[in-house]
Parts: sequence; structure tokens; C-alpha cells
Amino acid sequence: MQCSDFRELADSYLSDELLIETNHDLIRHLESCAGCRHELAARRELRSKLRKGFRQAAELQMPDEFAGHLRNELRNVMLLPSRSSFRTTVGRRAAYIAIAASLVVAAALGYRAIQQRSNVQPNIFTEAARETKSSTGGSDSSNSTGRALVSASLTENAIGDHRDCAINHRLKERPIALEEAGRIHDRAYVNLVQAVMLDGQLPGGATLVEAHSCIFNGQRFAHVILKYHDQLVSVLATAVGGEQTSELKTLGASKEELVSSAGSDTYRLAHFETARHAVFVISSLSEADNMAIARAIAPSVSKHVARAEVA
Amino acid sequence: MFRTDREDTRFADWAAFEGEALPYQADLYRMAKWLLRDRDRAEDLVQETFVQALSSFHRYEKGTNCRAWLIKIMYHVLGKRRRSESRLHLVSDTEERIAETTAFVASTPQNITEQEVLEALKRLPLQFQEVVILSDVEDMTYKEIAEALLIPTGTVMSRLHRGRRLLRAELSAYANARGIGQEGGKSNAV
Repeated sequence: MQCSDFRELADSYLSDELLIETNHDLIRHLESCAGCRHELAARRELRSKLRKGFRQAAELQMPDEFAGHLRNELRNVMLLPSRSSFRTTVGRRAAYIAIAASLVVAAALGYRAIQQRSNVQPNIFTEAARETKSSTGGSDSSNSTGRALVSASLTENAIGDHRDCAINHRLKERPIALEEAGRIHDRAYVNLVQAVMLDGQLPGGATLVEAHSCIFNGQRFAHVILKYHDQLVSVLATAVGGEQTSELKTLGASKEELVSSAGSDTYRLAHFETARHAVFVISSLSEADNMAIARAIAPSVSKHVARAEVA
Repeated sequence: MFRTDREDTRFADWAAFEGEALPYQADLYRMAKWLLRDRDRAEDLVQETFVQALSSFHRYEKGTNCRAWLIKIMYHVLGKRRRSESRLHLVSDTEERIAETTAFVASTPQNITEQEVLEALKRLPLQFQEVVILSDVEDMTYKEIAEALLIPTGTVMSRLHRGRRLLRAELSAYANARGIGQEGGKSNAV
């Protein structure tokens, strides 16, 4: 065997694809040819580097958040019979932007409506307004800018809680009973289920699945899970603000009810607020159905939570 | 408390898919990112691949190479996308001829890094990159590669042979230009 023959067959030899007789010919040649021994070692090393380089290349590693998203979306497609669509990455990002934009618009419109109704009663401070206030040393709340309670991060937490608690059952921390959470954390949670259920008068005969208090990403929620048209619907109530709480306690009355809605291909979200709580309704229902539930429970739940706030 | 009997069945199907196919997420993403060079497009391709795999998981033969099955689906999705985007990726005759006529290749250089190997691979025509990766990285058989790429097995073999040779030629040129060691033997053709 000549060196040129060997080098023609060397890759097949490394892949163990040659006949036994040909293998023997190559081995005999290797015994007497240092150059081809070296070439064979170099090709073996090249394959090893190719394999290792490709598998470990930083730019080819799958982002963790994509892995989590993919698993969740596939699971939802599989486990939720009405889910037939699947958001693309571009669609997913657009959906988040749409939700955030909807909330900003809803907050702005809500604030404007409230301002028009009352020039006397101060509204809730924004983070930006509080920063301005502290930087100027001022304390006059009438100079501050009002806002809706719901921030984009709070919305994401609510959606995350619906997804990981109601849908996927994989919260890091075990939920506790709603009444227990009411005693320990937030009295608005006590008897919240009754306020949500409207004495069985929920639209379309929605039924109660479970109620508890759970934590997602550090945010505690009262979580009432309903079933409506074979879909799980989360009603999530959560206290908002730490510093605002003491200031707003003097305000007493609940804020004007305002139900806003936003959505994506995966979840529909509606929310309304009281002085110190935000309440979300999240599901994979149509926007109209999700909104119908939010509108139906908003008066009762707002009243219940507002009472707890002033108690 | 949440689950009905019907949901339990779906959970069992999901568990099978999760155990068999999902572990290859990272492998498919790597391949998709290599082929498309764009994170968003790679993620979309992997998503669509897994959605299709999920819907046709009943056709997957347990015990066979699940990664190869998923890569085959991915290539079908990719082919459909390329056609719909009117960006047909036709194998260039010129590229094939260049590969065919690359007669002289120096000895395989050593003392090169993994990154340099990948950079050299990127400079090859895509049809050669694909078969080299599918064979030498993903350990797919000729038959599995042929089914994924929708080409005859003989074409897989010839492209692989040429692809490896082109890669060595690229590395050899790179090493010569930078004076990186060509320690071993004489420069023979092949």
C-alpha cells in the first residue's frame, strides 16, 4: 500500500468502515510509515476537536430561558386541548411588548379618568414620583403623578404564577391555605373565594377548582382557580407597594373600578385594582370570555378587598 | 385535584415525549443555530420542530435514534421554510466541482484550536458542512443523514469524503499562513 492509498482510506479506517482485509493492509503500512502514523493521529485529533468545539461553542449553546419556554409551551400544547397554536420567539416577544404597551395605555387612561372625576382625592404615587419627591424633599402628594398599580413586572409575575401554579403545578414553594394566608399576610384574602364565586352566579357556570395562597418570583398572591369551558382560569389578588401602603391607608375608599385587558397568543389577562391591591384574571380563553369573568367578579371582589383595606 | 382521567392520559403521553425527545433540545438548537446563524430564527426552527415531533410522536419507533428522528424533522421544517421564503438552497455544481478537483492537500495540521477548526468548517460550502457535522459530531449513519437531507446515501458518502478533505485543506492553508506546525510527514495528495 502506498501513502496516497492510505490517506484516501484513513477517514474510513477511523470510522471503522473498512473490510477486515483492508484494515490489515492499512495496519501493515502504518507499521512501516511514520508519516502516515502521524497523519492518522492528526486526523483523529481533528475529529475530536471538531466534535468538542461544536458541542461546546458558546455561541451555539441554547439559552436557558428558551429551554424553559419551549418545555412549557410544548406541555401546554399537549395538556390543554384548546391550545393548538404555538407562539414563535418573535411572536412571544411581540406579545410581551403588546401586554406591556396595553398596560401602560390602560394605566394612563385609568389615571386620566380618575383625575377627571376628582380633583381632591390624591391618587397613588408612581415609583418615579416618589423618587422625585424624595430628591426634592417635598411631601405634597398633590404634586405627584398618579398611576395604576400594575407594573409590567407584576403582570409578568401574575402570568408566571398562572402558568407555573395552575397549569404546570411546579411552584418552588408549596401553596398555603387562603384563610391561613389571610391571617398571616393579608386580611383581604379571608373570604375572598366567596367574593369571587358570586354565590354560584359566575358567567357560563364557571366552577371553583381550588383556592390557596402561593408565591411566584417573591410576589404573594391569593389564587382562586376556576374552570370555565374546560379551561383553567386564575383569579390572582395581590397587595401592591410597601411604602405606598402607609400613605394610602389614609385614602380609605377604593379606587374607581377599572377593568383593563391585554392578551397574547397564550394567555388572556384582565385586571382591576383597589387602593392597595391588584386583581388579575388570566386564562387561555378568548379575550371576550376572560373579560366577561373579570367584569363579573370585579364589583364583588373590589368591594371585598376595599373593605379589608380600611379595616 | 386538577386532573381528570383524560388529562391523566395526556400527562402520560407528555411524560413519554418529555423523557424521550426533550433531552435533545440543546442538540437541535446547536444545529439550528449553526445552520441559520441567528438566535431568533434558530429558536423558531427548534420550536416548530418540537411541535411537529410532538404531534407525530406516535410514529416514532421507540428504541431507534430519537435525535436523528428529530434532526430529520428539523430539516424537513427548514426545507419547507426555505421553499416558502423562495430561498431555495440549491447545491451548486460549481461548489461540487471545486470540491471534486481539490487534489492537493497537505498533511493535516496539528496545534490548532477547536475554534479554528470551527472557523475553517464555516468557510466550506454548506452542503459539506452539514454532512460533516451530522456524521462526525452527531454520529448519524449514512442512511439517517440521507433521510434527513433527502439525498441518496451515495451522495452522503461522497459529500462526506469531500467535506473532510476540504476541511483539511482549509486548515492546512490556515496553518501555513500562520506558520502553525505541520509536524508530520510529507505533503501527499488526498
